[in-house]
Amino acid sequence: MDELSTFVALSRTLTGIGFLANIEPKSFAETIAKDYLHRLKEAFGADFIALLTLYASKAGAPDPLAALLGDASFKDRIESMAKQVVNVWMLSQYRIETAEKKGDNAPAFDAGFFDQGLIWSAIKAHPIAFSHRSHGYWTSKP
Amino acid sequence: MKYDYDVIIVGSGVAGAMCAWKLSTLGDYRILILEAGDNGIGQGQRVEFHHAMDRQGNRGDMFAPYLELESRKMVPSPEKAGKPLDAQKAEEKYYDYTPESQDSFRAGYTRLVGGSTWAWRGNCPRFLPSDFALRSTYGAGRDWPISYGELEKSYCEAEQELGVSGNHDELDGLFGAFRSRPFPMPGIPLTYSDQLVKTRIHGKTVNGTKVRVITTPQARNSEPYDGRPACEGHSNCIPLCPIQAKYDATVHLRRVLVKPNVTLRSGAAVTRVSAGRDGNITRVHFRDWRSDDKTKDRVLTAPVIVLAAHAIETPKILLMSNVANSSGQVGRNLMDHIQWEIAAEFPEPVYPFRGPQSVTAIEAFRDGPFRRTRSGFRMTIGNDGWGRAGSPAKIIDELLTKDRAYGPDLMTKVADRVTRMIRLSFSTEMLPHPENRVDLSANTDAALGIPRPRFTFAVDDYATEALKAGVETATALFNLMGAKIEKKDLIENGKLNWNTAAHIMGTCIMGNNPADSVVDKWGRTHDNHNLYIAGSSVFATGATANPTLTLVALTLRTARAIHKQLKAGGVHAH
Repeated sequence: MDELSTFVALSRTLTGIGFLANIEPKSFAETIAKDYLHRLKEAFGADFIALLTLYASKAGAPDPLAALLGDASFKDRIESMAKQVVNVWMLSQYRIETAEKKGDNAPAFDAGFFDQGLIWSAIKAHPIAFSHRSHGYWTSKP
Repeated sequence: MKYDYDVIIVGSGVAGAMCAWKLSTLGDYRILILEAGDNGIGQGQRVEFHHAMDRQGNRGDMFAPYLELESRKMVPSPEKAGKPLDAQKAEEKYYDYTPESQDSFRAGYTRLVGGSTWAWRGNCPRFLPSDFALRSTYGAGRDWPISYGELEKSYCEAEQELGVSGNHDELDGLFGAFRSRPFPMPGIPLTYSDQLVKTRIHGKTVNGTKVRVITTPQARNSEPYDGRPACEGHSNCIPLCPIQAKYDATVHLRRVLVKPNVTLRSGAAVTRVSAGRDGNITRVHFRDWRSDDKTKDRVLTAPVIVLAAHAIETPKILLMSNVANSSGQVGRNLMDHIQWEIAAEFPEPVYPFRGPQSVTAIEAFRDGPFRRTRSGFRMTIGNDGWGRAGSPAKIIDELLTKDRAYGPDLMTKVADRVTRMIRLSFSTEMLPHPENRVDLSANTDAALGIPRPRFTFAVDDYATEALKAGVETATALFNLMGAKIEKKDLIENGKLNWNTAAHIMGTCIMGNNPADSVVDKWGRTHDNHNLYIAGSSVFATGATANPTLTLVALTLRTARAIHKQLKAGGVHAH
């Protein structure tokens, strides 16, 4: 697998999001995937590559997710990288965690496709600040 | 004597903008508005702020849309003020503290053309009659020099100008607060979440008080109004309404700046006011940070000067000028609404983040004999998940970190938890204490060398006891709803947890007695008859209602008083 394919497969494994299995070449989804891969490499360098490498070694396992989570090295920085892969697809955002600042206390960085975050359809809301509905839509159950 | 202008107004937030606009309707006055910030007020600027917000990671941050402005470096704002004292001392670059300060002052503000209304939520409840007479009614705090009845007509005018939506019948007569006119438009429709909550608690009795869930009056259009559209529910009222369905001060700035005699000068950081040859305060000194000589002292004159730079910068200017302070009260009686919120998981999905961030409130706990010893509280029902208590990002992180919920079930678990997030928030009243104050720090800002604000602040027992009552009430309400409370103790390790509502009040309070107040009931300083103050800095007490509507009502009165003075001869009229 090339790096992009590994990243997409890793993303699918971590998030469980089905469409990531079928990203078509030159589609908008591929553009986003390429961009996220680039940004995460830029932001995290060796730590992120280590996660990709670890995943590549487990991709052929009967249950790649179990194999990944069960690996002794899946902790600390590697685990933080996995969280950022989820964050970037869900919220188009990643966080640089430190020993002092973790989770949503860590500084957040925009990954460029906020309105394409997968959380919005999951919670049946529009991306915050991007309503395309008319006045009063919020009175009804979505 | 010739003056450069008839009136100089310092500050272009809602108080300054409203004062300028009202004056311009009363006479053909030459008005100058001086503003430290520097940004546009049209749709292009709004779009750019929206894009800037998109580029910031922390979307809940009230400063996110404004972080790329050059003015942020030249005239700084308190961007990390929401933190406790130790953290703020480490991270906050603008606020400073005396060694005696027990708490941080957590309210922030923006220094923009249009002021902090760019980033407000738009809630516009009125004060109650007892709020103006706290001392005589309950023996606590102070009385105002005006009554609710004296201000009622101005409240109506303020609601008209801001474009406040609300349901007259729900609020007319609330704790004696009569309404002589209906709102200019009906209330915002209840969210799906509000409807579920209302079904479970409306009409029930909690701690001896009957609960009514009603629509918050809010400066947010429920129908097209004043050339602005009806709310489309972007769920982003703070930090920016993308379509200006929510009022902000650029409405009145745009309206007044088309008049040929009205001028806005941005990038002008006022350093002091001073007396002219006749001894009256007619000179305004400022630094133009957009010029080649940023620290040059520039002076313009007018027979009437209005300070409308909010409740931190206004007293700073007075203290730097050494005027209007014969009472020694400038900068003192600093107040905020001390706030806390309880987060919970509702028993079924309420689908937050659809519609305004909050639409409904429970007003029943604002007044009663308990105010002899503790504040009331005003409770709002959130439609933005857990608000500051936790974002969807926090839920995702918890699921991954604690449960390692990666894989096929992740989306289902995220959806299940996030769609059931709900919060109840309550704001309390702290009393005006002269010891709570802002004065001038020996440290100056980096760009212009102007003293930073220095605080001495402590949250009082009057507010703390109300926070405890708020926790008890919110717990009872969530129990009625069958909601599971997300546990976070009000007091941890002996320290009180609290948030700011960022409602900065006091510091130039109004009163009848020049010995213990700074301005009279018209906003005119006791010491200088042509120097006025507009904004929440004149509040004698803070009550539990959001301050903007009241400060606008007061500002409209102030503008009428200035007009009367100018007609009578300006600087020489008493």
